[in-house]
Amino acid sequence: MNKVVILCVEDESEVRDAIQRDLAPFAGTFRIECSEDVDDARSVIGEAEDAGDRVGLILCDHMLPGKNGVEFLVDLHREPAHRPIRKVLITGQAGHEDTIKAINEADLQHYIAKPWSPEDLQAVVRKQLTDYVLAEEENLLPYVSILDGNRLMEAISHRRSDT
Amino acid sequence: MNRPVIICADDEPDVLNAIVRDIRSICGDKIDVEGCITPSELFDVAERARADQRHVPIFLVDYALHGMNGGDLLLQLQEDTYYRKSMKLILSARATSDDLTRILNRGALNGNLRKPWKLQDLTRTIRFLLTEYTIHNAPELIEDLTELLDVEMLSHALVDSEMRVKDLGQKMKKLQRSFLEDLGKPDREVEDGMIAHLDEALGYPDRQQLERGAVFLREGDEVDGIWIILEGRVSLFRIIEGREVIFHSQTSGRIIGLLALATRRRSFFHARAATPITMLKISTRDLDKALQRDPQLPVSFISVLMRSMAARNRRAVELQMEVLSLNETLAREKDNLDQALRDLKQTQTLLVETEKMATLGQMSAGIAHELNNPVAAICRSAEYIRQDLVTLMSSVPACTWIGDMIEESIRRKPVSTREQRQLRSELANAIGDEQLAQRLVQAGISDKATFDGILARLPRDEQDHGIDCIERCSQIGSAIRNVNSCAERIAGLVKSLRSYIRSDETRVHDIDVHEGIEDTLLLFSNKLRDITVDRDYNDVPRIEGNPGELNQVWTNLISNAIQAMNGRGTLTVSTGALDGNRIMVAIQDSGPGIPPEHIDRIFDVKFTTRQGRVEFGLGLGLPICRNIVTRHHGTIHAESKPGQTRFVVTLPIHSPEESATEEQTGAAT
Repeated sequence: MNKVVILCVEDESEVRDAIQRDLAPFAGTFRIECSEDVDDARSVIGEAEDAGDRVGLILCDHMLPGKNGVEFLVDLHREPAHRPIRKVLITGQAGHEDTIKAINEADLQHYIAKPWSPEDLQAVVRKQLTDYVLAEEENLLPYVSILDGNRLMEAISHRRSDT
Repeated sequence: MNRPVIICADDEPDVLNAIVRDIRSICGDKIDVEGCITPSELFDVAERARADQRHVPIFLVDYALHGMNGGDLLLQLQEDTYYRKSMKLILSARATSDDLTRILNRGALNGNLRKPWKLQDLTRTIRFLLTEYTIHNAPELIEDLTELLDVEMLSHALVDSEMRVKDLGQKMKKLQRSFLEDLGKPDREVEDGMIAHLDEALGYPDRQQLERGAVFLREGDEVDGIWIILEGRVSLFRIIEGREVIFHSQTSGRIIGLLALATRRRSFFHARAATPITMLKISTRDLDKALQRDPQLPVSFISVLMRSMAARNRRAVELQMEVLSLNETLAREKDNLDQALRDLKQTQTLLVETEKMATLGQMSAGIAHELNNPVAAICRSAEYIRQDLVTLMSSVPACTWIGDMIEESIRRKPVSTREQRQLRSELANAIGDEQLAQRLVQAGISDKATFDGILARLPRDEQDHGIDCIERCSQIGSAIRNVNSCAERIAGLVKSLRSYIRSDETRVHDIDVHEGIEDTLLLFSNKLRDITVDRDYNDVPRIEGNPGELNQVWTNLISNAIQAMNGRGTLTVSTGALDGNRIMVAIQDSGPGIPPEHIDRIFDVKFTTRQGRVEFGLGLGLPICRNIVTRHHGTIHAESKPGQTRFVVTLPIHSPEESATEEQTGAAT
């Protein structure tokens, strides 16, 4: 079955390792991909789409070599195919203006300040992915155990009564 | 001025010469004498005199001139307005009185000289005619010609003219039965005259007495007459913002109620007796009556009115002048204050910023120091965990491989995400399980052979569990590796921060500017990610100065450069020794450049092209740089063109005072 991808964009390997480890609970249900800069993130998105998968959530650092995180999120948001992707900025360095730009122009859904706690990170990811699958996925059952089960069950019963 | 000329004509040259000579002897050098043989020659000479605007006081003409009768000649001259004023003298031996009478009657003859003449007669005649001419036609010549003129005649003329002037004056006076007559009189006399007329016309109305300080007229009162102050003085004032402001005290004049009277309005001032006063209140109706009854009264009344108005008007102009000069003084003082305030604000901003940087420096030094302990503890703890884990695993024979695996993953170099994905897809192809491939590559197992080797070591029913184990080992390993590398980074930052700040604020003698610049670059490393840093370092002697302050200069210049390039471009740092006792540091960026109209102002406080956005204490960065460099007896300047902006700092190796002291010491020993 094709999977929803969680993409983490972070240039420092130590931080990347830590995020990846914190995302471990989602690893079975979702595909977790990492990239170290924006170009690399583009290849991941391309490869995932070629394989029939789709990116559902991006956790993006702001200070990246080359194009910065906010610019990347703004670009993605302008591409209709990537508009549904949930976007979370995870950074210690974005200034006020950059953050405002991300919220206004990339429809940024959440901002996580470094250092983060794993519980917070997981809660944010759970909420965002729930939003994503509710909006984009037909079959919600595989996600009930790992995401927000209540909301998903409610939606499932709703959809059944609709049909 | 051209000298007057006496023109003579006689057709006998001997006679002509004689008369000319005689007249010359009389007139000396004050008057020219011209002799003519013929009438036409005489007209020529006369014409020239006219052209030169010369006075011709006397024409002397022989009666029996050849070709023209002297009388006719004079008559012809008389026709001309220019020569009409001239005295005309006939020289004759035989002219009949008829002839002379004819000329005389037409006003063309002023004298007759008989031939042969006596010098005495000639002198008298010439003197008379000259005097006559100057008195009537050329008074301006009198002074110059005095010795030639008849004093008696002159004094008669003077008396005459004085008489005429006097006469004229009297006539004028008679004509002037108007108030202008009063102009020369003192105020008091005119006023008294008017009061006398008023008294007479109104039958001596009663006088009023007022105590000093009594207010007898209020601003805004309806005024139905005037007050004439006979004794004492009145001050006129208005109430402005609750305070009395006196407008007239010496200049009130003797008629109060003037403005109201003139404009038929309410009183313009309060009027108060400044001394005990005696006054006369005259209602408008009575005034009117008096003015009609006594034809002399209007003249003196208008005269008094004019004088009072003039006095008050002078005072008003003076007040206006005072206000103007006061305003000027105030404006000047305000300008001075504004300037002082601006200066103070500038100084204050600079001080606050310097203070902020100093505080920041001390704080950072403190934090840097405090960080050392936890960083050391983190490094040691990671190492202990590693040692204990490996020792622990080695003590259980079945688990030795776990220890090895952990050690291996600690040593493993991190691979890029691209490489990881590449390895993963290869391994996935080989083992046919993408998810497992991802776990394995994450755990550092990237080829099927290694994986098979590991599987072979595990009992068949523990293979799943074994893969879990491998994953955990790898995670422990990379966690320890990450702790170490992060702790090292923190230690590195702390080290550069401390050397950068060098909390001791005293001057040191052995600053290596390269170290300071390198520390600064390291601290900026995250902003320099997309900037190529070119280092053109040359041999530079160590210099004397305050390292913390100099680092602040590098920080500001580098930070500005990064900002100017918007985070992308080439930063060139060059150093060099100049002329043996100075060094140079240049920091150049490839940003858009500073417009020429701004380049002179960039070192001024408050000048920033980033529209008030202050980052890293900038906006004040360059003024602070210049302060610091100046304190170090160095120079700083900027040169800029599009794509290349260069700040050049020069610094002396020894500070001037220090070397001066050294020289003195050297001379003494």
